[in-house]
Amino acid sequence: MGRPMVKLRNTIALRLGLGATLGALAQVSALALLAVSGYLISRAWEQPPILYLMVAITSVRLFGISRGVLRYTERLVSHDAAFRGLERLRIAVWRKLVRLAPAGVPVWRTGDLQARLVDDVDGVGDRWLRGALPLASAVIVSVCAVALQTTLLPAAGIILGACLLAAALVGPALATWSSRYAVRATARERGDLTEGVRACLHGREELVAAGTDTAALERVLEGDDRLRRAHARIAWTTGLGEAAGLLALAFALVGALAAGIAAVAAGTLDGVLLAVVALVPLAAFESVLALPAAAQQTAVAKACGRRLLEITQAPEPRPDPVEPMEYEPNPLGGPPFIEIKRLAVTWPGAESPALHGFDLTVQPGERVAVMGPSGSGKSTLAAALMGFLPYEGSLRFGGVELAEYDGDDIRRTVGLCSQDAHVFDTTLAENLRLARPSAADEDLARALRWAGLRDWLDALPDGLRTRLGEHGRAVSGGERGRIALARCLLADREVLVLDEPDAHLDAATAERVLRTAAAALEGKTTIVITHRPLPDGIVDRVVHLRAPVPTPRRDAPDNRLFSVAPPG
Amino acid sequence: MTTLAPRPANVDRRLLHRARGATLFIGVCAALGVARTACVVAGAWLTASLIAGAFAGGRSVDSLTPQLIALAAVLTLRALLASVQEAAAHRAGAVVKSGLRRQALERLMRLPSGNRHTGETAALLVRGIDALDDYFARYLPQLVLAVVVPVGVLVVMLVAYPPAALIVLITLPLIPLFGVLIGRYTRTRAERQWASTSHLAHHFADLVAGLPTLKAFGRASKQVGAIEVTTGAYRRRSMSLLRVAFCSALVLELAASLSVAVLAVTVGIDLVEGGMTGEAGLRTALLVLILAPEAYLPLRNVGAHYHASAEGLAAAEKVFAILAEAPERTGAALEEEASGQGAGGRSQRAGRRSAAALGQRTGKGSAALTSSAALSHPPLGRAPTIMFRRTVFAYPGRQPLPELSLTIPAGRTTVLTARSGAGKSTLMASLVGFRQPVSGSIAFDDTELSGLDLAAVRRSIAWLPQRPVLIDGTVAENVRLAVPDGASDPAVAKAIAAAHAPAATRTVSADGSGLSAGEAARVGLARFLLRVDLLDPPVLLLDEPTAHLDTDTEQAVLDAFAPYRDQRTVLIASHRPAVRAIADREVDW
Repeated sequence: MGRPMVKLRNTIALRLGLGATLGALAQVSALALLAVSGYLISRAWEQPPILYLMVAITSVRLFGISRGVLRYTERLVSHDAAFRGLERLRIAVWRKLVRLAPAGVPVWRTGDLQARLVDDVDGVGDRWLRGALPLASAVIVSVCAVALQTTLLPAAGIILGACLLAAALVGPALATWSSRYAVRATARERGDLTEGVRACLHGREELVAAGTDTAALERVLEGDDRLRRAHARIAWTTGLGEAAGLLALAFALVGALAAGIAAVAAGTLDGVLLAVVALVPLAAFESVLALPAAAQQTAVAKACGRRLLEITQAPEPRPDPVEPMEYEPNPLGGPPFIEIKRLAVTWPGAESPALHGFDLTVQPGERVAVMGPSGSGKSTLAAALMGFLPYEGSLRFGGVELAEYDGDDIRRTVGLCSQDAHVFDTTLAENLRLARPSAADEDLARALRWAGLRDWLDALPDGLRTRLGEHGRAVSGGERGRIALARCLLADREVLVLDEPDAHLDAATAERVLRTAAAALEGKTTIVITHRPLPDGIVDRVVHLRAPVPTPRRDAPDNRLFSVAPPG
Repeated sequence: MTTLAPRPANVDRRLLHRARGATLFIGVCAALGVARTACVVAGAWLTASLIAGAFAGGRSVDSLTPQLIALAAVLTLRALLASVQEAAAHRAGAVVKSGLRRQALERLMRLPSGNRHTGETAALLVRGIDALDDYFARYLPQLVLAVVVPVGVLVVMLVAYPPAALIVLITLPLIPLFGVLIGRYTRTRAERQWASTSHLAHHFADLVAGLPTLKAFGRASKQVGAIEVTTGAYRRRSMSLLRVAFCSALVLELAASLSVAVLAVTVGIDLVEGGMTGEAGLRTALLVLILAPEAYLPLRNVGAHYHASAEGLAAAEKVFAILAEAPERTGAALEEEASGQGAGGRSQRAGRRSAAALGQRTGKGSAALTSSAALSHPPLGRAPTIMFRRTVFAYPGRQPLPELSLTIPAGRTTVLTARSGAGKSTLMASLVGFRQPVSGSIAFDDTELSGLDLAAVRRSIAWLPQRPVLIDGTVAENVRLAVPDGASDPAVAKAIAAAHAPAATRTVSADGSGLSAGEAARVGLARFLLRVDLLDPPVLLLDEPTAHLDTDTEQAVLDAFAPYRDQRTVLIASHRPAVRAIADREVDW
């Protein structure tokens, strides 16, 4: 898999090749050690002058050392290469995800997505280390062994070659064939189980209070049971693969002995070499016996690779234009003139548009509220304005269709304060600086003040250096929303879309926050998306949005950015 | 062979102790190991005598045929034994893993959530425990073989050619010795490696979850640099660990191959000098040569699997740490925790003490700690008055919330409109016993909450948290999580209709995908209404029940909820005008 995306640079390919060569040399050393030892003993039995044995004795000692040293270097070289390759792969996947987010990723769950990124990428790395490298060295050793055996005794060479080939084909095939289904099953069950466990732990208090924790737990553990069964299926097949290899070894040894004994009796083979003929299969099989495990690793890695391909081959929801217009929607500076006519926006995979026949004109610096019930496509409008989604009809900034612009250029002008903005697991300052990396601490504090978080900030013992927990857990819903708002104010975009800025806030706080934010946004274009009326004086005018007909059965397809195509 | 294990032996022991049927498993492994050793020795002896017979004895093919057939049979048997062993080991390992996972999960459901990372814990329970595969299916059987095979080989060598036994006896202990030394050196680093793996996983998960946000600010592509730095550091750490860890493998391989070389030379010189002659002499020489590598093979495999199993064992240790944590009390007597004594390991003791005190008071023994049947006090009466007296809640590392005195009148609907972050959710969680005030008290009618049986209190309350939990399954299955004993289909259908929740057959994922935020909220609401219908609890707690609903749906839901409010003590946290309109009383602080 991955050929199109894993563009291994030559250095990594070279490192892996060096690793394979070193590994093969180590195995050949082992082969030579046993073969020469066999010869040494047989020849010594004939009691020649010891001088005749000096070459053999020296070689035996050399091979005794070289094997271990070669193996050690091989491991270091190949692991380093694999780690380097993994880095590249991870980044390639991330780059693709960046183009897909948020609309282009199908209904994958975030938990699953993260498992994909880490597990699947690692799985592909395992394929190099435990799949490709053992195979390469097994092939080299086998060729050497068969060549040696054929030179000594052609019949034994043929037998060894056939047995090695059989072991190399049947063992891994058995292992791969029957584990493939189970491997695929475990990946899915693992994802489900992880997600189930997470949900269970997350909602623990509710479940315990309701007395249904056991019921929910049993439900999650059903997934564990499925995982266990899938594992048990793999168990039998690993055993079978190993048995097939050992059987082939039995054939090779018995065959070599039979052919060798006959040849010695017939006088076509020097009896001194009979021990070598018998010992070569024993050494040659060591690397071939490792192949079923290598094949299973490859099968696992293939499934990982396939899932990575699903990500890398997913179509981009809104590809950037090949030759984007130079972005200058307002040559005088300041917010652009926004003109929307008969706008229709459909989410990828959805059958009907979430927003249909929408008209709106926004003057530079105007503040407009777009109000409508759930499901009327408000957040869809926001996503289209951000350049996240393709559209039909017309959506112009300064007279130029948005589709003509590069997405990143659009987002330099348009900011979105979404109701589910992510709070990263890092410090408050880092979370805010996302919007403007160069911002000084005073700027951050000011933005927080504008977003109505002055008291909150003052109460934080570590101030801006406070670490916000997993998924912003240490902050309440209302605080999270206002941190997101502060971030948007800090970003200082010419056009700001506020998606339900007052969710999770009490009326007084909401009004205070909206008023300070409005003051801070003086001169910028603001589009407030809301499903309930705003306090007076926040916006210049209100545009009503009705759900497209026929009413879709979903009410807000867009507030979960990862479930793009809601069932319906 | 425990000397091989630098990790504390008690991890292995605890792990094997957990394994139902682990003793049997090890017994089977040992028996199979003895049989395999016999096969190895017999195969080596047959091979040696065949070569010696043909070369030194000059025997014909015909006279050697029976031995050839015997060799084939022995080798076939060896193949079968290997296959059986592998399959058995995998199965046994799977059982132990499942058991461990269940135990940990059951315990986690009883532990205070604290600031545990749910994502990391889930990864530990699934990925971490799965990593034990290498331990059970590969490491453990090889460990058994590593004891049985060298002993067998040594005995044979001692009988056949004592100098060979001496060489093996000298080099063999070097392997575990260096294994221990290097293992000890790398152990802490291996644990750190696991920590950094899970840190790396969390970092990625965080970035992926926040990708839409990053993209909105044009920062997504720039994260590539951050990922490069993180993974680069991870690689360097891993490599420096591996450079040392692979050293023990180097010692292994060197000891194994050098001793074969020394043995071959020793035997060869002995042969030249006439120490061993004739067919028997050659046979013995070949026998020790073929057997020598076999003595080291299981040890080499143990070494190879040892490092692979380290990740699983580190995960197992973490699981044991979870299992050792003291569970949250479901019984009574919360005042001790309230006075700040209940931290960590002491809380269990405190719990026992208070349970014992309770037992004396009620004369029912100590069953009150866990049993939901143990009613030290009757459950809450019809629509109790709830009173907070000078209550202060605090989270570690934050300023405590302001002191609160509040009376929630019986049989009325009270709406909390306090500003965001004022502790409305904490208040509700405290009524179901998940947060304890650091000072002050909470009372139902005139009884302190801390003196009531918590299980009974929880049964008398229906609680709708801000983000209701969702499990994999249908909407109906999710709604059924309302009550422990299950609900009839019509009851579920009624609740779903009343809450305007999505169709009962719609499927839901544990993370909520497949439902919009509003739909998820209504599934939670349906669950809440079902609980009220079936259990008739006198106290209802609703935390932002309509936050994700539009005004029309909100009104419809509130209308459906209206009959349930009758004769019950209802507490709602909300700022929505429609909700405030149904309030008998509004509270702000």
